[in-house]
Amino acid sequence: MSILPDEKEAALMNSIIHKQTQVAIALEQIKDKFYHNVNAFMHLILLQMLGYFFAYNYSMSSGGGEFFNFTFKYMSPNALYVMTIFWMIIQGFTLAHEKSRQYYAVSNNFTAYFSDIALLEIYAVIAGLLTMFSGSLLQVFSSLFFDTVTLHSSYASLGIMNYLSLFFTGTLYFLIFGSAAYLVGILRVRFRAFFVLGTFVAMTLLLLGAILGVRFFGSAFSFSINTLFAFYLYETSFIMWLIKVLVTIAVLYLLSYAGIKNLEVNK
Amino acid sequence: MIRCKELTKYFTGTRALDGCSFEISEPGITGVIGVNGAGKTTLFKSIAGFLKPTNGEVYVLEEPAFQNITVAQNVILIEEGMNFYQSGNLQELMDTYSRFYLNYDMKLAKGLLRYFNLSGALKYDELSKGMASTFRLILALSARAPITLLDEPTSGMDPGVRKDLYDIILKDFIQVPRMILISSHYLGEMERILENILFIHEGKVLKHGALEEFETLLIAIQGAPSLVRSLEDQFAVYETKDIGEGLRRIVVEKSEFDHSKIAEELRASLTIQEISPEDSFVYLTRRKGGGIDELYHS
Repeated sequence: MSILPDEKEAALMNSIIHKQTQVAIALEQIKDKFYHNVNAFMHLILLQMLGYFFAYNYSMSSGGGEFFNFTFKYMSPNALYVMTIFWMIIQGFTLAHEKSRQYYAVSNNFTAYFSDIALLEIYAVIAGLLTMFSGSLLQVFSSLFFDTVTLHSSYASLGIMNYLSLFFTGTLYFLIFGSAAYLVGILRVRFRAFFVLGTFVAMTLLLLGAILGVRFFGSAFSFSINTLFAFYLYETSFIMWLIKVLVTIAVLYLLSYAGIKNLEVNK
Repeated sequence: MIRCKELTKYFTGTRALDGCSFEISEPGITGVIGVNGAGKTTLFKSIAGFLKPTNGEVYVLEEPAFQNITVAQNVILIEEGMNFYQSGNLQELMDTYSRFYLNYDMKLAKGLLRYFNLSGALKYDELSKGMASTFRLILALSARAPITLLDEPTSGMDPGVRKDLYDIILKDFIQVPRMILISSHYLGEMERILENILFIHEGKVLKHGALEEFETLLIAIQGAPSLVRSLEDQFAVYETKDIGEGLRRIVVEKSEFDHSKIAEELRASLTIQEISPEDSFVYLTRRKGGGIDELYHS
């Protein structure tokens, strides 16, 4: 059907073959995923605003319309952290679930994984930043509604290192939750039909393990979720804490990659 | 450039491809023809590197296809089940594709969008089935990938648009020669743009060759019933039919008939007609074990 001789056709076709590296493709994917998932940040802001409601411990009173008294007893950032962690978990699941989108443009398992992980890290950094500035944001919000906002003396004494510490630890903790959710999402994509069954079997084994543990080791045998958190939260050495957190993230990354490697796009 | 050797692919309880071997080494438009479930989509996904062969090999651009990034950036596969970001409109999707496929021709893409009255502001999910097929084809052609795989590209389209699209595929190929593989279960409407045909049935490659080879694949032999019946034991017969009084018709492979030792006088008393490629595929893929007439008259 072509009007060109075969050799010229072949030469023309060879001239349009490209060989970009996986990293170049992955970087393009990061930009693309970031662009298409930009709504995620709106969700984060909304969730954090919801978190502010739970963060305040306040009381209100009014005197016959003459005056209005609004007192914050204290503000705890825990609700903000919980909301942000919830958001990271959703993002981890969403990115893992989108593995069926490898049809989309140019991709393979490695570039898809690489860009997902990079995006999770960007999410964690932005979540860390927003959480770090939550105190200042609270002050701004309060200034909108009240003439006088008095800061607690301890708040005023926060230095740059405190802020950096808040940001650094927050970012890494968010990343742990995001990576864990990503791993679970990958396992779900990988094993599909067996995922529910596998979860049920795992829960049963845990329950059985607990029953047998108590039976053989007595009531001294206990393991709660608090023990798991304490492993990180009560670590007093910064270096040890950093090692624990980084190793945890690395293990989650490696397991995720093992889950995604050789995954077929068969949806 | 595309080489499959004994390619076999199993899904749970199903053998989608069964020892497919073929090679396409020159630019051209190849029709991949087969009935539903023949293995066309599985073959395309294997070439695109989405599926890992259970057995055998798929090489594209001299590299194993599965999850190969060189293959991924030089092959574009479009099919009905493609996923796109729901937040993106058509223009944004085209922009994205232009960043990934380095030969992407945005001018052509915009021109085709205008030609088919598609607005870039529309979202993919808002398109009708036919419009979505048209948009996918616009993406595929504009990407100008060296290997373009079009899986049932005209699904859901009006006949007029289908004809237009086949013309566009041909014009595009003439402008940028490359390997274009089009799968379909209809041959008729795209026959005029094809150079080669890869005919697959029940996961196997039944025949791969130039279109002309398929034009002389089967023949119909017509003649006196006693005469025709005497031939039925000698050949693989794809259809037998009594036509009115004193005439019987059978469909057989031309090569088998040509190489048989039938007397010249006998040949002269028979009427021989060529079967079109489209009808040949119908005969070759027809279900065995009783036709629809038997079902209604039993």
